[in-house]
Amino acid sequence: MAMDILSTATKASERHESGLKDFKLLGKLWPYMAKYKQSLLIAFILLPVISLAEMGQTFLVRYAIDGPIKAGNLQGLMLAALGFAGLLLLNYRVRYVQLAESQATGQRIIRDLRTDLYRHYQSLSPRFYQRHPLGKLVTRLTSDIENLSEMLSSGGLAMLADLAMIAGALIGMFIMNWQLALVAVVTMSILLMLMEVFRSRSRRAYDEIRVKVARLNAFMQENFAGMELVQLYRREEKNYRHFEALNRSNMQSGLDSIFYSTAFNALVEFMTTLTLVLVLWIGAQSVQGGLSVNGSTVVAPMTIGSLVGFFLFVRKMFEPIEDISEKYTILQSGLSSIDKVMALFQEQPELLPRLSGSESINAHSARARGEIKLEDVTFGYKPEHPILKSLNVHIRPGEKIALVGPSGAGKTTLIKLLLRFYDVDSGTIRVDGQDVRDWDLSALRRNIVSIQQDDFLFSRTVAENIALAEYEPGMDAALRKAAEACNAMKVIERLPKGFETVLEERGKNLSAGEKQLILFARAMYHDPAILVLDEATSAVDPVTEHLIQEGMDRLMRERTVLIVAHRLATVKQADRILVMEQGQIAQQGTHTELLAQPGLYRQFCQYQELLSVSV
Amino acid sequence: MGGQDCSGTFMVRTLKPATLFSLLHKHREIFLPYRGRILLGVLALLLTNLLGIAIPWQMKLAVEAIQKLFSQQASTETLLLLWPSFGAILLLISGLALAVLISRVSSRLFLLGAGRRVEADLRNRLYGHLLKMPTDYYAAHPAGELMSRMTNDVDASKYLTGGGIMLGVNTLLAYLTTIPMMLIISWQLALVTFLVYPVMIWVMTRISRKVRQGYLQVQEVLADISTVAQENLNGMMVIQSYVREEQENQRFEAICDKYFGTYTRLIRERILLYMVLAALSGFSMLMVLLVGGGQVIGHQLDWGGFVAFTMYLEHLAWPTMALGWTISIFQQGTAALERIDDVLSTEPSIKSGEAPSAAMSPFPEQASAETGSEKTLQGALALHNLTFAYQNPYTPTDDAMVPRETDSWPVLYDINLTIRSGETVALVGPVGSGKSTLLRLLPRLYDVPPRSIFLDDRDITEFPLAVLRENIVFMPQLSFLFSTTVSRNIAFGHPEALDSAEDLERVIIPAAETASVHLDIQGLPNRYQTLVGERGLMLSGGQRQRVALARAILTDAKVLVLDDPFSNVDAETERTIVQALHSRKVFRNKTTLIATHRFSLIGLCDRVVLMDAGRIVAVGTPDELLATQPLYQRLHQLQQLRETLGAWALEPENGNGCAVPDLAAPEETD
Repeated sequence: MAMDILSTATKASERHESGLKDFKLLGKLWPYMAKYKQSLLIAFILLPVISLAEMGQTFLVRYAIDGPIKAGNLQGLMLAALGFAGLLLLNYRVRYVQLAESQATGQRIIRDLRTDLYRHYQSLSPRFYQRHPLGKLVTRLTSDIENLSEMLSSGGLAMLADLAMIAGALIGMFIMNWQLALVAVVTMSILLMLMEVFRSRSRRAYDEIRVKVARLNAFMQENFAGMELVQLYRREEKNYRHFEALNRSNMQSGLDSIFYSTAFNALVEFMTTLTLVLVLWIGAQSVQGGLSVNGSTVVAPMTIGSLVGFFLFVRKMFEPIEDISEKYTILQSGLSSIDKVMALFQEQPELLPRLSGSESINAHSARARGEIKLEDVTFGYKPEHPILKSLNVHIRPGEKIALVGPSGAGKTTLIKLLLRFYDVDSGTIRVDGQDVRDWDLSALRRNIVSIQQDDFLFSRTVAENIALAEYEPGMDAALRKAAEACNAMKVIERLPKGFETVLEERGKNLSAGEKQLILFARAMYHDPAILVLDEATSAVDPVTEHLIQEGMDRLMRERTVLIVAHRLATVKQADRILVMEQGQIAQQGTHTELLAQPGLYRQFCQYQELLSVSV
Repeated sequence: MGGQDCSGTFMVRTLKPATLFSLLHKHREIFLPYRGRILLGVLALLLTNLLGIAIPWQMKLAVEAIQKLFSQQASTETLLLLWPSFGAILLLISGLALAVLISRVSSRLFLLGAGRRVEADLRNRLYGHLLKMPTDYYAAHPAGELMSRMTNDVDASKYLTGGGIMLGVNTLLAYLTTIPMMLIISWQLALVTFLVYPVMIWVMTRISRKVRQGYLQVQEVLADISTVAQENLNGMMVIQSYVREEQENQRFEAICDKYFGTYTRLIRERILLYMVLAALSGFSMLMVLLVGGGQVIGHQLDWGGFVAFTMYLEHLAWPTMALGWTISIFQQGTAALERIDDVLSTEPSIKSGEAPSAAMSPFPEQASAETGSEKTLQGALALHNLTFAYQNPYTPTDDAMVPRETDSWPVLYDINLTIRSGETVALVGPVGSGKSTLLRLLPRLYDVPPRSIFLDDRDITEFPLAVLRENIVFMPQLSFLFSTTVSRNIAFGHPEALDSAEDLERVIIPAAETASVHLDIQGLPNRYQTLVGERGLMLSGGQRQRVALARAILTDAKVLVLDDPFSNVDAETERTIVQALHSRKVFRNKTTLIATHRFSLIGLCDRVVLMDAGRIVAVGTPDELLATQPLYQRLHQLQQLRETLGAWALEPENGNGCAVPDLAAPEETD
């Protein structure tokens, strides 16, 4: 884990070497920005207004000093002050609109991006989820987009206003006195160079801290998980020493980072004062008609008003630099997040319908008959390791099929293919005579409901878990009917708020048997033509066991049922038993037929029988 | 500076100085070592501010000098005098600015450095404390919670000592030094400009409170997004197979909309705060222009004072802005210290027996264990009227949402058993019969009533924990490996590091060979030096279990306790291991207890203890039990069938790969 972070950190720092790439990354966001062109345009148009207002205020101060105050004209001073106040209000008003508009637009972009990414996730199939750890996908949707959000709100876009301020101050200075303005430009350039040095150093220090913190955290996390072993094997002291060393090295990196991450704004303060000193010195030369070099005037004579004006401009120019140096980090982490988020959009959904929307079969048709036919189906999660080998099965509508066999025989894989979570490598799976790849995917899945072992329950209300939709009062009757039909009502009635009880994460506040019954109700509510059931193996008390058996019987009525069976009682009731071994059908027939044949099935039954008494 | 990046953990609460002070006092030994640095830092801040107020004053002098230069009437003689003194003033200002730079940077190095050091010490102390906490504590406090103590809360105390003091003291000093100077220049002007300060500060604190609340709300919504994303990605198969994509999209969009709304509100507050600050400086400038200009006209103020006054005003801008942060740093720091104090004040429920003389080490009993004073144990075990129920002292009983009645029910009833030194005993029984619990009590992972378990006729609660665990080595059911090399994992329980090639040959490889994992390890990219990854996930379940077995048998403890050591090992490998255990006489001279159903392993045992529902049903040789005990017969038959059926008897392939256990299952061990 620490290693991962280490490599991303180095990658990140490599990326920041080139500024050109940054623009390309920003360009990737363009499709999202384009939608809000108008708002962005307004934000941009207002920038020069800010510059002008900043400039105007300072010029007014100069005018007031050199004009009314010098002349002792109180009325003129009042007028100038009034103008100043007016410009102040204009400046704040415009800046408020500019900031609010651009940042709100940023948030609109974030909202679009986040919902798009989620939508994209939903269009991707299990193969995608096998390649990408869930934690990473969640991080992209949360922290990474959050980085972007920070960049668009407090970082990147606010930097534009800073730049507008700098531009305003610079232009103002050149208008007032271009020679003195040049002095300020020189000191600012020095400061910018120093900024680059400090920024890259403090970035390096932060990268190092990140790596150290990751190591420390990985160590702690592992230790908390394995604490029992640490104590059993008396490693406390050794681990403490190891921890102390990691912690010390983390502290050292922290100490090393302090200088580069905190000295810069003190330096800005210093450079500001230094610039003022230079302005005073050079400005003072103008007393005797300006600074002369070889007899020609280099510095124009200056007034107190210009002096104060310059003081103000220098401040206005240097302050935003401090701001920019802070926001630059936000900008860069936002940029690297763009890259990560956009990479996920490159993933294409693989289970596209072979026929276009309107042509695909049964897009709007009602219930399927429930016939399933597998013809020569071969499939492996990796093609070189086939799980199912030339499988041929024909299931008639309404037939109840039990699948038994050792783990790894391909029972669950078969179910996943039927639901089209994967496509076959060769052969065909047909539902109602049509290749599943020609079905409209939604229509196909509406006709097949699968109940997996330990199937997923959302931390929402029971009603929402059954209907898998937002609860509406109109659902009541249907919910109740479904729950009663499969014995789930007995569980639901016991819950503190009935249908409106909110389940804990993954249904932790239910027992295994109760969960099973809720899942039955979910399937019953959706009333599929084909039911696929992976029977739960967890032990439940006899009363619940009875409820489950009865509920399952009723759930199976009037549909085609494919059940991965673990209980003898279930197997016995099937119309036909398919014994799967190594991706093929080894035996098939009714329970009595199979018992009469030699093979592992007989021992399996014996084992199941024993298991049911000894637990 | 230090305070800015803790916005993620913003909590809106009121500052409780009394609580903070008593916490600081209680844990003063963490802060006291750095009082020197903190004092130096504060002195540097004082110096910074004193030098800082000198600069505008010198500017005043410079402007006055320049004015004289401007006045064309000045005579050449005065000019000749003026130029050098003007230059000297400018040089002095530059020097002062440099001194301010140095002293400001050093104040940060001192104070933020002290913060970092306190952080490291506090983290060490917490970790050292947690190392002593028993299994029950970890059951009541999930790893995530402890991580948050060790990271966020420790960080917050860093900010408290570092950035908090820095910002707080600086703000105070800046006000104390600057205000008098402004009053000196023109008390009327100062009063007029300060007129708005109380109002502005009041408005600002209100808005920053709102901004903090906004942050908190944004964090909450973000947590919601994260929860929904996590849950929906987990349940993606359900969403897709029930064709619920559109509904879920809308649901997710609704949260994103909420986030948008919350964030835009925060943005508005944030911009408003920024505007108030800008307005403060704008208003001050306006006042200076109007009132100061008026005073210049009335000759109550000269240009130098005018310029210096604006500079003093600027001097106050940053400390005023930092006021809000300072308060929030202290609030968060107090809350974090309270939580840390909570952890540190919790005593380990399992007390070590009387420890010999305490050394300087934080684990004195361990150091003494290594001296070997108690090593001459025989390893005879006796369980006497042992009745045990899981009762976690760290979970408040009224807190559980659904109180499980079984929690306080005895898992073991009235167990009486004597195991001679050197004997090998198997524990057999159905799921939930109490085998694992019994084994876990021996190294005192959970505490037992006094006088119920004896090691060599001495109550196990009387042994120092380290001595007890040195003599009773336990291999838990879950084969947890650490993300280090294979060889270090195997040598985990050995007092020495065993990093040399000779140690590998002499100690580690034989243990690996016995556990039948040597060939597997030879096949790894770096053999014994291969990193096994987080929790050993680079290895298969069976390999992990065999490495864990090697780890257990490598120690030379008198008592070896194995909890279902072959649950992830196939029948063939099992036979190889049993063969090796037998031929290498691993169990000779050791008292061995094994919970298992594997015949081959039971075959190595002198006696079998048959358990059911927390009681001992029968004790005897395997053959005796097979002849007389129906339960044992059934378990035996089941095991036989399981071995014939192989993968048929394993659990289905679906789900997240964690097999639902039958007999080879984690038991009531929680």
